Amino acid sequence: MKSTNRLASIGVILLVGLTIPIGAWAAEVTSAGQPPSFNDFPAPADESMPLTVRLILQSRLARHYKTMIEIQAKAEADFAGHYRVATWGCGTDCRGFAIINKLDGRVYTLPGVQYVAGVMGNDEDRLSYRKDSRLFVMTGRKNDEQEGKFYYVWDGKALKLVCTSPVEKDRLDE
Amino acid sequence: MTVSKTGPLTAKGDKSAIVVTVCHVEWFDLSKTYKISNAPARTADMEFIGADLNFLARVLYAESSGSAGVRDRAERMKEKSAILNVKHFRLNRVGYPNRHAAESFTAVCQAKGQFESVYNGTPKFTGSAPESFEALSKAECSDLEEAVDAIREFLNAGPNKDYLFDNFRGGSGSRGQTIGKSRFWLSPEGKELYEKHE
Repeated sequence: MKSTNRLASIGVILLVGLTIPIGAWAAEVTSAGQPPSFNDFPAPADESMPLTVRLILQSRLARHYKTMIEIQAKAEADFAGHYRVATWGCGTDCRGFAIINKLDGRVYTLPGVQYVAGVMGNDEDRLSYRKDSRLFVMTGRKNDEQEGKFYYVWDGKALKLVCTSPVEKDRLDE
Repeated sequence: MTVSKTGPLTAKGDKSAIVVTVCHVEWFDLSKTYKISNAPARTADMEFIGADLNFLARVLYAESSGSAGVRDRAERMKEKSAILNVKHFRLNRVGYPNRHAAESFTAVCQAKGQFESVYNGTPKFTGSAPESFEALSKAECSDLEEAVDAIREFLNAGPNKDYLFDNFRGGSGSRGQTIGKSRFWLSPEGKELYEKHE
């Protein structure tokens, strides 16, 4: 009986997590002033198999980094259930990325964002994501320009920005 | 090219394989220390062991353009020099990326998240390790040798004032000065540190 209740609870959490409109969350974040956590956006369990379908490179950026994406597409899912995030370096403290759907081979990039670069005094991971969550966090400067900690939620086809906060930095007075 | 044979060579009856080493690199001597000529006060007293410079050479080889990407050797050497100046700028200086100041080139290269070849262990970086570099192709070996040569030139000549950079990016873009296939610049924060301390 206890385990049945537990399963029901998990089901409710998953359902809520998957059905709350992202816009509603964004409004909630703004009023509460707290950035979202990975647990706020649970992802369904991974049911993907080793990728056998052909990759569908949907953007110019993805086509440019085709080889890196193809190599990393073979690895296990590591984001939002059945997705794999392919990453590549682009210079000092710089990451580019693409999101691969391991079920259908579609490859997604974030429009307008070629890469995220580091900020002096901050050594956080530039990209943070988990297999059991749809939250995707970028920390640094998008294309070496806009600086912040950007919280995105994956909706199955795109990353939607739900919250931005300042980047924490060490003081660099020598 | 080095041809070597393990065990005694005999005129007759020796039918075992001969080991042919294609890649022979003149690494820095592991028993010596090195200094940078014409260095600013920040790095003038620093000494670098051979292992540190050999590690730097592997990262430089992995992060710079090879002969397949940039045909002109002079341009490749300029790019390597610019990358070395980026690494030198970060020596004994905080902010890349945190309050910890790197006291060796290895520490600069291993600073969290700074150089993909190191934190991801890219094929060029791992393939140039002491236990595996001899298997490099002739072209790749030549690129690795160039990296070692570029470091020797840097140590002899010192930092290049025309290459006052703390960052670089691969690929195209509007920001920075393009050298080889990379773009270089000095960040506003780096410029502030430079003007304050040098």
